[in-house]
Amino acid sequence: MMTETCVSNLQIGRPKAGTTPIPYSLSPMHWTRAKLDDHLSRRLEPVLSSRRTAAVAVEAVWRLSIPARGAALDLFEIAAAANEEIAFQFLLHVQAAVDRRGIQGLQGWLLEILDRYDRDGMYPAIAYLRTVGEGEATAVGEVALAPLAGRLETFLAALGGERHAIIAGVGPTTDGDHLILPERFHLAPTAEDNRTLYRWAATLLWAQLHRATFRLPSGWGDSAVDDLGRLDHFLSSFADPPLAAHLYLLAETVRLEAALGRELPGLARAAAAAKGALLATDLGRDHALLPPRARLCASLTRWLLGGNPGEAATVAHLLTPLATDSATVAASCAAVTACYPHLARLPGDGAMALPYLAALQPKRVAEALRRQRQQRLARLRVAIAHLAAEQSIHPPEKLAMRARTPSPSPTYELVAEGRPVELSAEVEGQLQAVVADLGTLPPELLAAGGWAPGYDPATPAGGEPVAGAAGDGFFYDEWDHRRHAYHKGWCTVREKAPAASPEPVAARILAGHRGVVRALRARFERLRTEERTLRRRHDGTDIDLDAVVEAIADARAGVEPDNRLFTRLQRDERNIAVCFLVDMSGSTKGWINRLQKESLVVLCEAIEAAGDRYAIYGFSGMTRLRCDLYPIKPFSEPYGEVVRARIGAIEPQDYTRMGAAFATPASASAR
Amino acid sequence: MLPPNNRDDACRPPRPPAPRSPLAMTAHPIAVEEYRPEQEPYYHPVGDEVALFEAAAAGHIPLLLKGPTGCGKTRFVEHMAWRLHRPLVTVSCHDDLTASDLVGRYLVKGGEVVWVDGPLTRAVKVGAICYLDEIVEARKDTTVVIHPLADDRRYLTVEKTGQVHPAHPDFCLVISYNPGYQSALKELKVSTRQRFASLAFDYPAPAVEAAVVAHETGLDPARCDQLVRLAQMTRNLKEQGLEEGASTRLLVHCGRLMVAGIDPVRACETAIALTLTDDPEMVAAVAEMVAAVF
Repeated sequence: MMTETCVSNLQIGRPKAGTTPIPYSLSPMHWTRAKLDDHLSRRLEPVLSSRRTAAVAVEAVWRLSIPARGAALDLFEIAAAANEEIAFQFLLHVQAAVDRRGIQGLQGWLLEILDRYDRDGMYPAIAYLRTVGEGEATAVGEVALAPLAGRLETFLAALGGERHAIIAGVGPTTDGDHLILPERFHLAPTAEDNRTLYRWAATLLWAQLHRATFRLPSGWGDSAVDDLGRLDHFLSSFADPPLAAHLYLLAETVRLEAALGRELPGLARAAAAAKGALLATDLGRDHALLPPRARLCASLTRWLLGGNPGEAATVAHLLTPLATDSATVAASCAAVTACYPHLARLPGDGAMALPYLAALQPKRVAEALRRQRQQRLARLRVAIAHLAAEQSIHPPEKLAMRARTPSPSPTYELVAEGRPVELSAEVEGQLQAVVADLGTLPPELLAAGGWAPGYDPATPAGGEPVAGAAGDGFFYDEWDHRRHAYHKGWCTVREKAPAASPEPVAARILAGHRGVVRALRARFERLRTEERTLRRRHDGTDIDLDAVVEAIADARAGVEPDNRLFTRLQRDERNIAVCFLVDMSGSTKGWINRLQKESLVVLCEAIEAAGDRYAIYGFSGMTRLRCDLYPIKPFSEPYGEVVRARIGAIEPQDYTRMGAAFATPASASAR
Repeated sequence: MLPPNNRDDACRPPRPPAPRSPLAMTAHPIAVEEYRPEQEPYYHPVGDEVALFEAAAAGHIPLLLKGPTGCGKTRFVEHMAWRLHRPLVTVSCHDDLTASDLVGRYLVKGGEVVWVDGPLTRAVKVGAICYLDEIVEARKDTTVVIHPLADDRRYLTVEKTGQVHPAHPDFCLVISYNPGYQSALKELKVSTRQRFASLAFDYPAPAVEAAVVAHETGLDPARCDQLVRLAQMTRNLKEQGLEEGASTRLLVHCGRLMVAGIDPVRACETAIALTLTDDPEMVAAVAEMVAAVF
């Protein structure tokens, strides 16, 4: 089947994440208990056994108020479509959820569970589900992460670097890919301060990733390992690594808070106020009964919050220079080395609890950053290889890199024989990211080795499946009509190079449909830019002689002349781009496939006559992880023999998954 | 007793003089080809663009300036007109701009039909710099009239009068466009493009941009740094919710509001957040950035 999408005036791109309220059906709330038992037993059969019956779920539902029962049973169907065990657990905990969030909040709760299920699997989703009843009613001033996460992500994206997803979990900490923040925050007494602390913690985590917390210079840790591995070595070199890690986190927090204070004084001011509020809580008190090391740690925390360091004055004094403009991560390492003996000699094993930051995970972060680095390099290598091929730069050694703007924030460009090479925004971004990470461009990217015979630019550097033959896959959200919400990053769309038919299929089709083509062309030609002369205009390209003669005659006769004396050439320009999506799934085998080819060839001829911009994409695939998109004719490619050969080669493939296929060419053309 | 307004004014610091436009000294309108910047328009060179422009003008090579909106393209051309002592004819192109709008047309005056030269013809005759701003906005048939002027022929054919005007030796053609706005729908024709030497513009480096804002507004340097930081943050959100980040021009507007005594947060909201986007969520996001930076 062919689907036509007019993209010129539509705002198309990545679908916006969102939900719509589900219209609850009314009948289930009036079911009898027997009917409920029967229904749940059938629906939950895969997760029930002779010992585990639906009775407990039936009991849970039966205890609900009647309106809550209707909502719960409707949402149960959505959950069961995803996973029966989750649906079962959903019913067991639904009363607690109603108590906490109300009937209106049930849908949001289930979507949070299902998002977690999509992302992390069943057990984490169930673990999350079970937390709904934990704790008493919402603490005073408590704020939840969910409504803040999107805005926080945007804020951090504005600070620069790659975009990090914010997820809920045990934190605040980072695993290198995500920023992990607790589900709820109630450190400070007021909601406003808690929101500020959320933002401050997230910004500090961002700074850890982008201000070299996890990248030690040589001279610290084991110099034999790469910059990302040194932190772990450095911390392990102490007799008490957890203590060293805590001290390092403290030192880095002092350094990064000062740096952020210089860059974002407004946020730092708000954070200082919120920290001041924390001082008024239990955190600000002196705990005389604690063991000595824990007491010192508590004093340091108080100092970090802006209070008096008290007995921790000596250690605080060692950390103070980290707040200066010139302090680097090496200074933090030096400070840790200097502070460590002061704490290590004290008895007790007091953990340095920073109220708004959890422990660093150096190993995990190093792994993630290393993987990101390899992926970036692989992507850039592919991009440079394509660039060299596209711009016919042979041999590629002619390419070199040079600074475009001087320090302190240099940007770089590629030059071939002294002339700058035009880079797409994407390659440009990749280049700057690699240089920002490594400080330079690895020579193998620009040297002969990169293009040795047999070198396949599509093979990634680090064994990571990052690039297909035609570039990366794109992740798209997909609408689930049952959930009334999007599955996040659900479909993987890959562009695949379309085949070209050696047979003159298109020529045969054209020969067979000459009459239709001629008629269609004539019809489409009439749609072309129309020119017409508008007469008697106030302003225009030419003089309307009739009007002038009339006006002069009127003036002579003493009548007020009409001052509309011009003709104007009106050109009704067409401003249309059309993208045709061709279903290439298995069901099109036979006459549908034949008809698709015929109509495409005829249509191309006709649209060429109209002069509109158009593209043709074929789509097919297998499950959500492999949505293939075949660019038969991208917008930028002119219609010709190559495109005709590709149309001739359209063959039925696998399954139909339309949503993601719609989104990709639409966003491409919108660009 | 003084009326309340006067009392308020007595307490306020004196308002800075409004920035002077180059035309401010002339009380009456002037012909388009007579306009030339009398005083040096402030321009902070970021590379060798001044030397390149001078060489291109001397070598009769037309220039294409490309870069995001508000990064200084127009100011650069004004500055070069002043530097080269040439009149400057600026035409802002739009999708209804016809060839007649550029070349000229017949008008009726007192029962007579008279020919009136368009801005391009006037620039060709007097040897001005003709600056066609946002050239891709003009209709494609319009851009074709500049072709003979943009190659070594250097003449302008006026079909309606049946005349050919050879270009004055000082005539210099400059066009500009913003590649960021281009879609497949609006592109410069290859045949037009390949007649020009191209200069790419971008927002200047932070220190330079802060100096520009400070010069244009008189705002204190620390505030200028903050404005530039805010601008960079919005530029990082390009295609992540914002169509385009805050331009240097917006920073200058914002700086002038601040110098006039408006609270920085309110000034940024007015001159930057609400100008960049209509999406309430993004306006709120930009407002949060403003709160973080100031």
